[in-house]
Amino acid sequence: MLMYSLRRLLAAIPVLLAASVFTFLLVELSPADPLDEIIFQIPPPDPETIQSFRERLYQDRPMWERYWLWLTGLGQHNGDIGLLQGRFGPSTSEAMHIGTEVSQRAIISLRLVFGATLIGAVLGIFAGVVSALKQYSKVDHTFTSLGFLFLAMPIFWVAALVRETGVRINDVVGYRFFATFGATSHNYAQMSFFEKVQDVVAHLTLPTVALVLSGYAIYHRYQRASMLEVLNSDYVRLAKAKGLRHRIVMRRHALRNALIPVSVILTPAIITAVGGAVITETIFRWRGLGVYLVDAINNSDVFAVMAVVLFLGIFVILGNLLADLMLAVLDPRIRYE
Amino acid sequence: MRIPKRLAGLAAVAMAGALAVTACSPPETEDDTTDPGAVDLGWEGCEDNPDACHVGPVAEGGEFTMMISLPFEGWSQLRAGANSVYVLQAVEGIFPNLSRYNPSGEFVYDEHFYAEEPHLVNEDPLTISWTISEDAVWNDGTPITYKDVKYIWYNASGNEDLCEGCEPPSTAVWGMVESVEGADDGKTVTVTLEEGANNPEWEVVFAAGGYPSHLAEEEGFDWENDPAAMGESTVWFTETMPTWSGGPWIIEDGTLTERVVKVPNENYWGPQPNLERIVGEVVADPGTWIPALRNRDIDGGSPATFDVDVFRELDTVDGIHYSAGSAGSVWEHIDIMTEHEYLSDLELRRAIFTAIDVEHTTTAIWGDDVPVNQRLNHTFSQLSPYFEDFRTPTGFGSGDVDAARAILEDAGYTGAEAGDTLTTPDGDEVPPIRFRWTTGNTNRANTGELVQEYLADIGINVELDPSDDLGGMLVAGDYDLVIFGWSGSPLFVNGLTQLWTSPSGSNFNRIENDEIDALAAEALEQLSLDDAAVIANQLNELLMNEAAVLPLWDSPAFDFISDDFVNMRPNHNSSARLWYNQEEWGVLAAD
Amino acid sequence: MSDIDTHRPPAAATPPSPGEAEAITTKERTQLQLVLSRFVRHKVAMISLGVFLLIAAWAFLVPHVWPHPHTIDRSIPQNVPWFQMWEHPLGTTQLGHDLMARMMKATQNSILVGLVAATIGVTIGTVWGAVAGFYRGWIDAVMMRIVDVIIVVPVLVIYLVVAGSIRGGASWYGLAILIGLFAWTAESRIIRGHVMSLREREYIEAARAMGASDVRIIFRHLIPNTTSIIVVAFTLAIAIAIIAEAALSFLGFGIRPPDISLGQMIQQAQTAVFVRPWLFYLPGLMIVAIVLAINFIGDGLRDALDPRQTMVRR
Repeated sequence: MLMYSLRRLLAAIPVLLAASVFTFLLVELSPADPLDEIIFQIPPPDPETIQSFRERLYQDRPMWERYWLWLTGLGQHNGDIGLLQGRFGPSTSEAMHIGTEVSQRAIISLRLVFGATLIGAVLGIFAGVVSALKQYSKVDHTFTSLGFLFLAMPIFWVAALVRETGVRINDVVGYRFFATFGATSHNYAQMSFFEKVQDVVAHLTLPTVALVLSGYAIYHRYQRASMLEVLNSDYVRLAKAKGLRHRIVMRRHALRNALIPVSVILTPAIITAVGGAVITETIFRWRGLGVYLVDAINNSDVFAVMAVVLFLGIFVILGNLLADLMLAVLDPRIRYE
Repeated sequence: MRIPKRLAGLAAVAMAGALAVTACSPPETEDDTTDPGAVDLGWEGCEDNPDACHVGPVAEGGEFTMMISLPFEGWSQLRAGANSVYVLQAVEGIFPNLSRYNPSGEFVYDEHFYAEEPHLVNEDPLTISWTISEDAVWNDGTPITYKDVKYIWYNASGNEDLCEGCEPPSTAVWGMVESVEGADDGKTVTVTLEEGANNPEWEVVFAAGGYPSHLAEEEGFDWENDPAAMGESTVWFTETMPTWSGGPWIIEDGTLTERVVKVPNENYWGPQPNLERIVGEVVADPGTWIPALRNRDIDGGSPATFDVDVFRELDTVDGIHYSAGSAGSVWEHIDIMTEHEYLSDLELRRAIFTAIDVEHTTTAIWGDDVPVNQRLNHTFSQLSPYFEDFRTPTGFGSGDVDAARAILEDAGYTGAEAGDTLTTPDGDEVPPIRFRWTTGNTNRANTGELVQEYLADIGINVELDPSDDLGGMLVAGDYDLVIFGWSGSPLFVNGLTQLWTSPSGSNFNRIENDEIDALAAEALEQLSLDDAAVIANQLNELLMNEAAVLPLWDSPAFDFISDDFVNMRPNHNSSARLWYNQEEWGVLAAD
Repeated sequence: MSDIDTHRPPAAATPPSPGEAEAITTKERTQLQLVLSRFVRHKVAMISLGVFLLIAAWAFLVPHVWPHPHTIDRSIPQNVPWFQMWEHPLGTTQLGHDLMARMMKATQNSILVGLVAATIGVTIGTVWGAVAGFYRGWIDAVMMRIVDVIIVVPVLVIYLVVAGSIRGGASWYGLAILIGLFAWTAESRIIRGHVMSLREREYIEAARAMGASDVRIIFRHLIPNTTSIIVVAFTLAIAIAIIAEAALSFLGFGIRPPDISLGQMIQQAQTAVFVRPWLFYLPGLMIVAIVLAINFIGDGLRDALDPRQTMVRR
């Protein structure tokens, strides 16, 4: 299994490289110029300033050379570029270092994403099992319609609705329980442990609720289908026929087997949540990767976009690998050599 | 709605003297309009008494959370890459107060900082001198001296011998300085300009408070002698969150693009702030402002972008004061590309401007609730003491379709009717005209739709064509009609040359008028703003008659605050707006 | 937007069923009738189809008789709340837009974006998957690596970067093409898996023996036999594209004024939630209604095309 994982990871390298070229071309070929922002001030900066800015961003080099620099750092002059040397290149926002920003923000984003995915999965799996057991009952219909509904709602609309609701609840209760923006309060560092927990919860609740819904919908759908399939399978019928107690049949035979295919969608669900998080972060103004990405695109900050894409790419590849390995653990029939 | 930062770049006043103009604070006592103990808790009085409204008893301490409407991406304005009004708002208060424009437009020096106010020592070369108060120190006890001013000069000199790798936002002001010298332990500062150089705005732009140059030295940058070290030190100031202060506030904590937390600077020599803490939170999405305010995640804000719906929504929030207004810090205008095959004809341009109904556009966009000042002069807003109306006499912006048709008919055009196609005297049909604006700006998009309607009446077909790249578009002249905004400030002289003279790269309409060029040069030679303004107005009249730039209105800005606080008031004359007097803010005492 | 990969089961989870493919090939016409009759019996799907057609008719036909354009009209009273004037049932904006006309135009554009994007995406995905699955070997390897590359770059990133740079890309079709161009990766994988098993069937052998060209085999024999997958993928793709467009509009990269889409309307109403709440809620509900209807129709189609999925043995 170790060899298998290694091979998979090695195979991922060319894919990541190609993805980086792809992203690079996308950003570079867009007409917006990273220098717009400084050129366009009144009074305008000196031509020397603009030139120096251009050089700092390696905009004076041809496009292919810029990519080569980004990858290898060979021939650079500022000691700030070259992925293979662990440098991410200069950002148009001079004071912000891409590596630091991405790593700090990744933690903020992933906290949101993992929390929401986990809660969504637990809720969805639970509801999916109930739905399958009581197929075509009122409960099933309710859970299923909710799933359809959640999938049909644009995430930003949901997020805005959730935020309104949060504000209204605060209004009614007369206590600011939910915060509408940011991941923590400004005085977080000075708080006691209990206050910190409370602060994080206050900030996390609304965006998590917004993100959980789609996770729930996906998991419910898959768990229900998978559970139904298992319930109708011969071995479950056999187990029932043998006279095993219902609860044991369900736990040992049905649920366990029904969970296997569901584990496969863990990664897609997380990727979904990452996409949703970009929008949720924007609405709740979390200083996460999503906001960083959108800002970077707005600023034509090519190296920043590349760094985020690379990070997400590695995340996706590792996630897929993990899901496959998990499948092998859960399902003894699957072996990786 | 996300506002691309590029847009904001335009709206931002990237003033050479930004620090001097805005990071400044008031002489606290001498305001003769305020009688101590006066109570005026709303903002209703601000119209009549802009400098002394919203006053009342102040309680001890308190915390105010202020919205910053777009991310700030650096800790200093020394470098072009990070310079923006949002950086200014974030670091506001950590510089010594120097001077300020009060809400009424009055310009005052800070009496605590200056032992002697800036004055002319010599006219040629222009030499300015002032003396810094003996008490004025940085928070570590180091006196504020001429060296700190020298640091600013080195950064913005544009001279490789002084600084290598500096990328100042502009060298327009400090680039013409010959020397900065100190006397009396460095407390007396003398700035001498190069031979023949002049700046009518010297009272404001050179009177800088400086940057803590001793910190650069402590960090090992030998900035005075080593140009490369000087350049590196500006990067250091931009990247490093300041824990120093020479003003009433000091930064306690902060994160770029997210928030900044300021507490009073205990070593400040002037009057101490009332509040215990000010938090600046970046809230970039206008859809978030009202919920955040209702939730009291923020206590107030002073955003530059204006959406009339947001303004109406403020009405639904309890316990706040809010208002809108403008003194022309950003003004919108429609530009015509004068090198266009057909639009190069002055008469056609005049007809187009005449057919556009600015009054109607204004009410359509803002409604009746928001006070909007029509812009009738390219340089001065209606509130400026130098204001003269040049637009009304030309009939531009009147929406008088008959007058527009008359202009066209006199020039030999035909087909100036709705449903018809305008045809030149040579018999060519005027092709569709492209109207452009930056994507994401709803007000400008709506103006485009309206212009389409107006010009249809004189047989001109307008195509709407938003652009993503305002800068590139303007530089390339890739438009027929375009709407965008210029930042104005009480300082205007340099702008004349930059915006309207033929050799300037920012003359995006490609106006070529020798008289305008000459007047702009003449304005630069004056020694006082008053004299320069007279010439500026001569230039404005010529410019209006060029029918290349139609001034529309001063973009209103709005301010809102929780009514738990006092001593806060809108200030449209300062680019810091509401922030201009942070140290006076306080929690309203219960009684 | 966010659930592009996850609507469909991973290829491994739904192995192609041999019985179904045979059924389709042997008696094609009755199969269609069967499918139709099964679909008609699917109540929710039928209701959804009705709802969708109603919405579409309203959005595409009513504007022809509606007296107001969706653009600014100077003769319209400004700022009318909803249900105040019969002329303007949904009210008007500050500038003099009739909101009813705007809603119709927006719905129209959203549906168009969905249809066009889905058509493009499904076409590319089907051909790509079928070609890769048919030829196998290095062609397959290269094609699937390309899919991997596109999957690694989050679709949202691609959309944001490209949408940000379409020159003057105010048009709905520009956006639709963009969304369609990159929304086919998951489908191509499923089709590929399906085709790989189909190509071993006897009737393909037979076609080849009769001298049919590769192109003919792919387009006449393989792709038609994946119809059930394609149809279901198509409905899902419409829903995804509509939501993707809305998300792009929200982030400021969508359809540009004066044209309008539902996402754009929500985005513009964001700042008016408290003063004109209907402006915010109605377009959102419209998206929900369309997407729900399409998803239910897709569900009905799946059940009709692949009876195995709903067969309940008790």
